[in-house]
Amino acid sequence: MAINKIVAQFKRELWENRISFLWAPVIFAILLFGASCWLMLNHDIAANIELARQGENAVPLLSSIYQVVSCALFLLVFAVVIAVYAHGTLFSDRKSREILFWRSMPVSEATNVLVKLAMVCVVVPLIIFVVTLAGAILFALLLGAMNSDFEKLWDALKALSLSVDLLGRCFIVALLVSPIIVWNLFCSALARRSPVIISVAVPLAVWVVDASAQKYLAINLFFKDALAAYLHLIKATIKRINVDSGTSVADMDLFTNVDPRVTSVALLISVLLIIATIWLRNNRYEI
Amino acid sequence: MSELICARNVSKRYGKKIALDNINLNVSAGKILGLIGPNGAGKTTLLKGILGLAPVDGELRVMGLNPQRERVKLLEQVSFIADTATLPRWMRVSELMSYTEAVHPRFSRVSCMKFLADTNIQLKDKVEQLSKGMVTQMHLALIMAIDSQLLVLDEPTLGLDIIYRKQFYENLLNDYYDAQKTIIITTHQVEEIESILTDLVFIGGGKILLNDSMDNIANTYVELQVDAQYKEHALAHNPIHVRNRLGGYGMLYEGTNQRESLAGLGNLTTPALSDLFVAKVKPQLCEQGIV
Repeated sequence: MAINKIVAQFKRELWENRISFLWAPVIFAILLFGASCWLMLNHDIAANIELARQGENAVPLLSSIYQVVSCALFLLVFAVVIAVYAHGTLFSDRKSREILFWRSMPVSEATNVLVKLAMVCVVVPLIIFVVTLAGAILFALLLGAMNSDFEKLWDALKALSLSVDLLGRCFIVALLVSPIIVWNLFCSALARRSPVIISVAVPLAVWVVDASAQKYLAINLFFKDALAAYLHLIKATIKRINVDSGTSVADMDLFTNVDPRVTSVALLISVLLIIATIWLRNNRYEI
Repeated sequence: MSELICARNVSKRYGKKIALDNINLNVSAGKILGLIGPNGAGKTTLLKGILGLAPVDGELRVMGLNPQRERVKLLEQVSFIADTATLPRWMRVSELMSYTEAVHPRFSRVSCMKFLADTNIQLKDKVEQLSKGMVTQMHLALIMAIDSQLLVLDEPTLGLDIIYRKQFYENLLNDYYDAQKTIIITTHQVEEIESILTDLVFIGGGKILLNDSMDNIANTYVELQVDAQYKEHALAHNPIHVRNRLGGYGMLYEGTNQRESLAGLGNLTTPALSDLFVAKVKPQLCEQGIV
């Protein structure tokens, strides 16, 4: 029964957000594939860029580029989708009073909140993977058809294994930004009017207070430093996984330059915010 | 009979406002309890405490469980409709049923379809496409398809036409209720549920004003239809409520020992719940003081 409840919760999230999580990625993937087809059929890319010199490797390289570009674009688009989702998901049902229906069902708020977090950290990367892979398969078929060579088609299809590696990178990015997601979920559960205002204004206000305290009173509240360290961690890790694109995620050394204090504090804050979010949903759910 | 709900000194405050004031209540299995009270009396707060939707002070056990700490386990045995609950507008009827079937161990899709067969609701309809009454019908069909031990209905028939209201109470008695189930209903349409209740609780100002079985109430309270000429004689027996009627008065008395003396003054009847409710919740002021 517990597994049924979790699956039902995931289905509920996909039904509720079918436009953002299902239709939008499919339409975007179709548009992306369409744009790629138009570029391939109307412009002699191979003649104009260095790829032409790759000779036999041009086709798998084109397939790889398609997958990387597709994945990167999806991540950018989904960044907006996730921000909107995380801010609204624990607020909109309170505002509309639907929460009293959900709370009449034997599903704990812990399950509810953790499934929503998993939607962002697990399901969204999987959706990106599926649509990237689907688009890449079609693109590989197009390349094969353009070359009229079965070997070239097979080379393009073999390059699809990159999508699995890209999935791993998406999971890493999701894990990196999970403290921000968790903060947004907390604001969504706390807000009575606008979760966005709380999620932006509170850190901004604390940052200003800390910066002013450091400048004028020589008092360090550590918020500014902690935020800078966290943003540096994100930047350094994303740079690492982007720059070293030839190395598989499994072989990548992501931890050498990572400050364990920063990751520990980020993890601790995430856990505390999750606990606080679940408490809010149980005890302060009415607006 | 085992106590399904056991409340001892249950209180709840919202800031300075006392919503529940030392409530003591026992509800046995197999009862149909009407919880009646004016707006702001504490009905919904009490139900929220029973359902684990709000923390309360004091001791409260429902089916032996702490509603606040064991809410999920409790909800596998309890189903409820809150008065202001809304079904998710974006959901389809089929999705609602699939979701409830997946999370509720006691939900029966066959029963739900049977209740929906009497409506114009289609499986492919979205909740936002349904009228207010149809949304209520859908919600009731979902809840009544759950074979729970305790059913809590907070204003269940708001927005329903009279035909469906009557049908709903018939279904409640014939298809849903059995000796092991307990139903708690709150409603302002007291006269509609009068005939189906086994027990009655009046609540006002956060306190319980009346808590008795319908049989005892019929034996304890009597209404005297008295002509104007016998008014003073009737008032001498200290009625708890007096109302004007055409050509005379209706006076409500508490206690069984006055029936013989009252019988000579006029016509004795069992009071309507609505009149008893007004008598208990709003005692009257007259020239002699509080009646």
